[in-house]
Amino acid sequence: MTPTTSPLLSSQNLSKRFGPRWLFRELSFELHTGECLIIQGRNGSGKSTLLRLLAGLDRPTDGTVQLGFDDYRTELSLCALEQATFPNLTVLEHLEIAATMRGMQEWTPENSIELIHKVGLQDHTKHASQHLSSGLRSRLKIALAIQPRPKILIWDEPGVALDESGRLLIESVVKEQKERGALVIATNDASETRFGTHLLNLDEGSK
Amino acid sequence: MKTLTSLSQWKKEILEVFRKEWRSESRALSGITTTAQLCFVSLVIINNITWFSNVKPLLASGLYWLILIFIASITLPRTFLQEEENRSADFWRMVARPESVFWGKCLFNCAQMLVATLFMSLGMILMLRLPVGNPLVFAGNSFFGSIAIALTVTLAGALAAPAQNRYTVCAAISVPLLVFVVNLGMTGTAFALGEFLRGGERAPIAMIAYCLGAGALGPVVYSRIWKS
Repeated sequence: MTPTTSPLLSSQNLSKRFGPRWLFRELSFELHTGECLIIQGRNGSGKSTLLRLLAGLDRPTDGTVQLGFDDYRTELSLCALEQATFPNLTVLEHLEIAATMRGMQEWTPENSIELIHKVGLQDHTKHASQHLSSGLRSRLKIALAIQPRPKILIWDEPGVALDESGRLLIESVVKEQKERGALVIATNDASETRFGTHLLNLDEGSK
Repeated sequence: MKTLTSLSQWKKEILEVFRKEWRSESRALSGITTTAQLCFVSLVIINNITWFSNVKPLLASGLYWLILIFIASITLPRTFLQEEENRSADFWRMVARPESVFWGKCLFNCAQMLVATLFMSLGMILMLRLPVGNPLVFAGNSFFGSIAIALTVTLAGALAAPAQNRYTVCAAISVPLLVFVVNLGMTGTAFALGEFLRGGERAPIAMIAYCLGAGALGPVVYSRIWKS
């Protein structure tokens, strides 16, 4: 990893235990601009849990996660399978709320429309999220995650529920993200592991 | 993009959460329907059982606060509990500050509770033909009492949301506090309706003090458990 700059994300001896069972133990790594960490592992190995720890949504049993920036609202994004949207709110409303809450004062409705086009939701701008298919909801989550142009993008199983154009979207998002920051992707899909600059396999020796 | 931390930004964020709650509620109508249903049914039943007799102020105030507490317990905690249940709470955790979320939801719950209280007050006074001897104490007590209930239930909902058995935890947190608020409310309302109770005239002031305490404590406690 590039030692000359301070890391955007680093973890030291990160461990997580549920009851008597350790999901993973003493994971340490650093992520710098341009890097992409791929997390692999069988079902139940703790991939999603690790992502939640890195995003600050859960607390580790042991160890620390450090971010190389102050404002998690704009510098860190999580795009997760299990994360739900608000069922009664439209695609556009989600983006407006997120922009306000993130304190993005320069964000305009035109920016929202542009982003909606980018993720391929232009025909669903005013549709409530409960009326979107799972693939379209994934696109909404991608839009929400890349909206602030974060330094770290944490992505759980990017390709799930997405069609061929969705896969192209993933590719372009990964490319852009590597230019401005770093990524952590949890996946076992070979078409996604190729984005990685580093690999972490949770099946290997962390129990 | 630069981020703002000014007072106007706090206001914007709080109002955005309020607007989100209003939009969701106005489209689903679950809370409003439940509140209206509870208010209406309670008023009809009370009216029927007291048709041939005059209700004593203390009993009337007891029934009044009992109905309000039920409305609050059933409708208000949902703003936090439901989002946690359908996993949309993580949306807030990733994009928002805990204090904004707490205050936005609290504001919405207070508004909802004030409307329910207004409806219940008018209904009780008209249907039970209650003589309000001290309208100022009655109005002040009801107003701040509603806010106190809304604050308590919102805080309990917020604290209980991450728990596995969140509805039980919410009840366990809110009941002791609500018993205190309801006792205070009953004293004030009974006093306003003509029953002499010691400290009745000071009940609205005690309610204000409670609201200030809960209002100051709420966001601080919530931000501690925000990401856990």
